[in-house]
Amino acid sequence: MREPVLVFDEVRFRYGPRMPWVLDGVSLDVREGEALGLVGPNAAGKTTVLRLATGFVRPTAGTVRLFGRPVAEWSRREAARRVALVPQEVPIGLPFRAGEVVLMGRAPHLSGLGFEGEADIAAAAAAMARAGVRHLADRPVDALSGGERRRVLLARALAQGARLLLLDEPASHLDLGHQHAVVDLVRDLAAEGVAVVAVWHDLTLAAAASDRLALLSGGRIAAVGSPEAVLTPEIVSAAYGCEVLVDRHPLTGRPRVTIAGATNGRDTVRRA
Amino acid sequence: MTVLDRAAPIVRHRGPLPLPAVGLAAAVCLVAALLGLGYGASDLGPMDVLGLAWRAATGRPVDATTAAIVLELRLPRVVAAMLVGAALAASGAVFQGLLRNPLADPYVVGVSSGAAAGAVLAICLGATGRVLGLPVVPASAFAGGLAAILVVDRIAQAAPASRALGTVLAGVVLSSLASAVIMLLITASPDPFVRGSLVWLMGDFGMVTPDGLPVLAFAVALGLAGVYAASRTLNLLALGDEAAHALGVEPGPARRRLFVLASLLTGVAVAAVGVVSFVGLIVPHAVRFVLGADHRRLVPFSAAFGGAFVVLADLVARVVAAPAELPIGAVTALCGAPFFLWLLVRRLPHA
Repeated sequence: MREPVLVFDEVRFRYGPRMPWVLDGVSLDVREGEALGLVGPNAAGKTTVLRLATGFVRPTAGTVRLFGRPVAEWSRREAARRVALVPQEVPIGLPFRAGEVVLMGRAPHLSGLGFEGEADIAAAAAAMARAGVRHLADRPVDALSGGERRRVLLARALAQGARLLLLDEPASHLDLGHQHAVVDLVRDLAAEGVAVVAVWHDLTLAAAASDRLALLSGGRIAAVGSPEAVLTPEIVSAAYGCEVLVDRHPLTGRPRVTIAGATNGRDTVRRA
Repeated sequence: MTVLDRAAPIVRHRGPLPLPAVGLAAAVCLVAALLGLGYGASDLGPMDVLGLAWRAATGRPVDATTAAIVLELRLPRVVAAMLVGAALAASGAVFQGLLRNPLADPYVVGVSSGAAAGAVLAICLGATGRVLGLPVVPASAFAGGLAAILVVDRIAQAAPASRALGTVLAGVVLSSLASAVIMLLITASPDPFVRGSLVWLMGDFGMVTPDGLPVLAFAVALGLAGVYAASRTLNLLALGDEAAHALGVEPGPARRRLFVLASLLTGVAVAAVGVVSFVGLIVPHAVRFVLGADHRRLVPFSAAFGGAFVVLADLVARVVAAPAELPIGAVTALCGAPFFLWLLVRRLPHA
């Protein structure tokens, strides 16, 4: 049995006592070498799940466990050696170069003033090569395109050497080729034993990248299971409020989701 | 052999202190100090100062008047300028990093004026001595500066979309509020000396006394050491609180610690000489342009070049309209304000 890396147990979360629940009783577990995809409509609470997993926000009720211990019990540095995050966007106002940003992924492994050693440089260079941004090392990050910056942040997370990787919409801003590369990367990381939890906007990419999908809707898990089990026209249209067509991707054999528009719903077909 | 093996290094600068830059910084500071000591109201020039130093070093008798002018009049002023410049430039680097805003500077974000209001308030209340061993005027300036930055940061957090400009606007408004308070306090003061002093608003090294130097030196050394020790954390915070958190830093306490240190640096500088604007803007930008954005280099080199810059600016203030003296803040504003506008225009599309 593979080790549970991240466990959510009946987690509820809201930003304040009078605020609506963002998450309303979410239970999840992710194991070593597993790629879990989080999907769901806007404001379903997907990013909040990642924030709870890093401990950036604390659950209002329920527990989040990382490698068997409640998140709050980990020291920040110890947790950061095990969990890496690629946020959706990072505020950049200062002209750090891409190589410097990726090297900051080594921060949890340094102490004090901690200047990086050869091993850190090598890890950062390898991470940049893997994310396809090795050639951007000397470019200021604020001069990069949105997609290039995403991949630099991905490289920074890879350089962290964590066993749990949290990706918030890793494919957004990316062109087709790079979307494909990110899906491959997630598959490869999972094969190496890294647990990957990724929020996906595109359901077809989610299905291609993930071992299991969890569909969040209104702060609850509407469905969880294999991509085939979750991406049925009934479940997807109920959650997203639009009609979809689900068939199999001709190359991967995984579910492929196409928007069918707001027709009367009877046109929805399923050939899966 | 793969292409990777021969690829350029991923970072240009490694390690803390590139030696050529250290040498340059030391040389610039020495030359600035020599010029600062070598020019003034009396006729003594740099060569006289060098001669004095040479005679003293070789044990020969020195002229008492020359020694008195250099050591008692000019040296405290140069030392104070060096410390004030180092403090302001380093705190500028900190504010730019923490607010993720290249336009930030102790003056622009309102910390200098807040500190000046704190200092003037203490003076008007007659609290110019020490309480529990702490000198009240610098402590009060520190408190005023810290209050200002906490308000500005709060506003910047509340309006993330227009953060860069919001910070600057909040700082400008706080500054004018603090200036109004200063004017009110000064005008209402029964003490004719206080009533006549508007130096707080434009900075004046004429206020420096040798007695005040130990406190200034100690506080600046403490502040610089603290900021330098936190400079790697500052790198992470500059990428955003959530990123810093994910990389092992608890952002709230780290930000507060750095705000306290930067306010201490600005507060003691302002308590010593009044508001000297834009040093914290110009110097870190110049250093960053050459050495990159990494705060582990930016902070110490900004401090060194900031010291030299203010010594030279003070020299200009003394000689340009001699025998009258310009307020030092007027000199730095003449350099800094156009630079700020240039930065603002250049960054507007992204702001």
